[in-house]
Amino acid sequence: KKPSGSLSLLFGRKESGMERKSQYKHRAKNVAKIRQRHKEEELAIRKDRKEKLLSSKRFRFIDGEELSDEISHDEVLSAARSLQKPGPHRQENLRTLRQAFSQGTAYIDTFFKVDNALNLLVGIYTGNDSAQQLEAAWCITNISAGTTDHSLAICKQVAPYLVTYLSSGIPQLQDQSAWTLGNLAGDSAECRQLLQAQGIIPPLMQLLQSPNKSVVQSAAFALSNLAKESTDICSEMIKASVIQHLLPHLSFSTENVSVLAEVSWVLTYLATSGLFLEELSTQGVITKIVSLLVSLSDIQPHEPQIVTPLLRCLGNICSGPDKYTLEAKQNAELLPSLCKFLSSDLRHARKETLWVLSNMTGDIDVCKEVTFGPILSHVLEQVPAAFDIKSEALYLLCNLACHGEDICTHLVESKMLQVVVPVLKTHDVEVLNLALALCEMAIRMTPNGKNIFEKECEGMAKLEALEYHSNEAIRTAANHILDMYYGDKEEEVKMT
Amino acid sequence: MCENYQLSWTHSKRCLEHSHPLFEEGNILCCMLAKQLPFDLAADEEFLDDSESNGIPCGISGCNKILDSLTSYELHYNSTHRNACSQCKRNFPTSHLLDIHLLEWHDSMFDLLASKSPMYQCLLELCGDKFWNSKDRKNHMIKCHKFPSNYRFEREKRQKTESKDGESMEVNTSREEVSQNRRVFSYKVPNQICFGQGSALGFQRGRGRGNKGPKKHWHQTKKGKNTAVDIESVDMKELAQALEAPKDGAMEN
Repeated sequence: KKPSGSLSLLFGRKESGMERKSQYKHRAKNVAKIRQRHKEEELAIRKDRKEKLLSSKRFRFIDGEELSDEISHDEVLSAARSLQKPGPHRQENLRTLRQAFSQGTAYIDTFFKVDNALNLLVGIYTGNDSAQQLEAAWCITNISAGTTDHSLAICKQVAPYLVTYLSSGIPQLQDQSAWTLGNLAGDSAECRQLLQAQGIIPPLMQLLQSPNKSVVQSAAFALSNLAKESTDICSEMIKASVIQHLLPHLSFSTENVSVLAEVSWVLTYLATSGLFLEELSTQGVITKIVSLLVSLSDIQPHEPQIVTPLLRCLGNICSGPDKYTLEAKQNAELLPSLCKFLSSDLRHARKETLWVLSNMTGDIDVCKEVTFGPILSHVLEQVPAAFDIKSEALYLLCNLACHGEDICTHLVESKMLQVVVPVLKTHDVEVLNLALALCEMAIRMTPNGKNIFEKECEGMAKLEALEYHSNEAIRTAANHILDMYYGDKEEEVKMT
Repeated sequence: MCENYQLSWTHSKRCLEHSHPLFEEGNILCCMLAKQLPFDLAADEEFLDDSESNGIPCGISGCNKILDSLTSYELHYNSTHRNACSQCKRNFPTSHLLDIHLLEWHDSMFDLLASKSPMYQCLLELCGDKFWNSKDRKNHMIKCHKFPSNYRFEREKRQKTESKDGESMEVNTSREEVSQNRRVFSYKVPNQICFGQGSALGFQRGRGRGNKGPKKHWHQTKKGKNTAVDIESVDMKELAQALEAPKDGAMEN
């Protein structure tokens, strides 16, 4: 810490002196480096945690099991080895392994250390003891939820059996297999391609028609992970009439929540590709989604598992041609229900609803209804919020204002500038851009905008502060407004 | 958002991918809610009354298994007996694979037709490709559909070994009866193969997908008692090992 200490140590005994000196040296010169390293480590841990949180794989365990004693690595090894001998003890071994796998991927690594372990497991899985078969299937499910290496191993060696068993007619097996395949699909593009080649889509379509809810849910989970990042797979699904098979499940009831959630995700990813909007429209999906959202807006607390995918589905549908927005709007309750989501307890729902609205405002009637109706005040309320919500609110306002004088004037009359101009002090470049664009439109297109901006909101000072902003686009925009609309003022000031 | 800004705004819509930062908050919440799904084992369990407290015997001729609940009984039945070949007692996981098996192994016309046009179909229902022989089909499964080379539910037909009336007595036939347990054939004979006793229930052919034909025990069908086993290219070492390894539930020969 204190450099002065090192001087006195030069005269101390060499050994301890060097030792202590090196400690001091370490601290004095490299504190910054150490802090940097800690920061990086923390970022890495946070990133890792987030990746785990966002991973599209799911472990599966019995309710309450996590309270039992943790299984050790040694127990994993001995359980894996005991599998080599056939017998009823295998059931217990498999249970041990399955539980251990859900504790963490390190335990899966341990399992793989045993020679031939996976082959043994597959042998039991495709073998003749149905009870052991199920346990083995469960183990495989949890392995597939592990690392990419684990998933790939399962994909290459086991997946064709999983696909075969989808058509086995045995609900527990179908359920487990579909779940596993969902984990594999959620792993990587490589897995998805393998699965597609292995013929996974047709049997999954069949499973959507199963009378067993669990099976339907697992099948939809698999389909959603498959559809998520591959338009190629989406196309195959559409050709296999996936929409038709999903439609019967698009209804809300307390028993149906999980299935509806999964099914909604599939539709969301189909909509995101942008290629199948016509099919979604003609098969009645848009109408259905809208009516679901309308019902769900009244059910408090809002159900995130269903509301989230449906909002996004609608949002992406409305990012396409206006005619789909118009179709959605045929339900007069849609905008009122979106208004309810704007004040949802779910923070992300408020944010995403703003985005949905920003896509819907391509249509002038929607614009009018949003601007002249109750929604506007909710939007303006969100402008002072945290930056992510703020940003969406501003984006929506921009998409409204650009429609012309009538709309813009009403915005100004609703005290928009009073909440937006303070935003010009923010540091975030994107938000600044939005605020500047909005101010520019207000000044240009309304009779009072210019005055209000300058007199009531003291906007000029804020613009001047931005004249020397580090970001070029900001500088240009700020200067543009100043020159264009307040140029005469500057002349006046200069002349006096 | 930044890209859109020109000096005056024009309306713009945004189609957002699942991984877009805007969705991150919602994704984390939904993932957390969905992740910890417990497997509801008890959901379908039915409780047996006292009279059945000893368990449910399988009831299929030759199968000695006793199951402790209706669910496990159903499970056992579906996985071991439902898609079994009446002729050779082989068991298949799906009715489709059984149908292919019946066609290729127990249809007297098949070999004749196969010599005139490709009859070996791809194992995946919707693929539809057909081949002249099982080796070509196997290659197709591996190359095109990424199946492992030791896929258990299909094997190559090496020579014409079936006689016309459906009785199959192979040159290599072992005289032991087939185990009542699932017989699976693979390119490599798995270690778990055990030649135990018992036979699986044979269904009448032509049952078709999803239609359960009248259940008759194998000795009640017109076809004669057929306990032949087809074994081809057996690795004798593995076979020896298999015969030594004890197998639960099945009897040693």
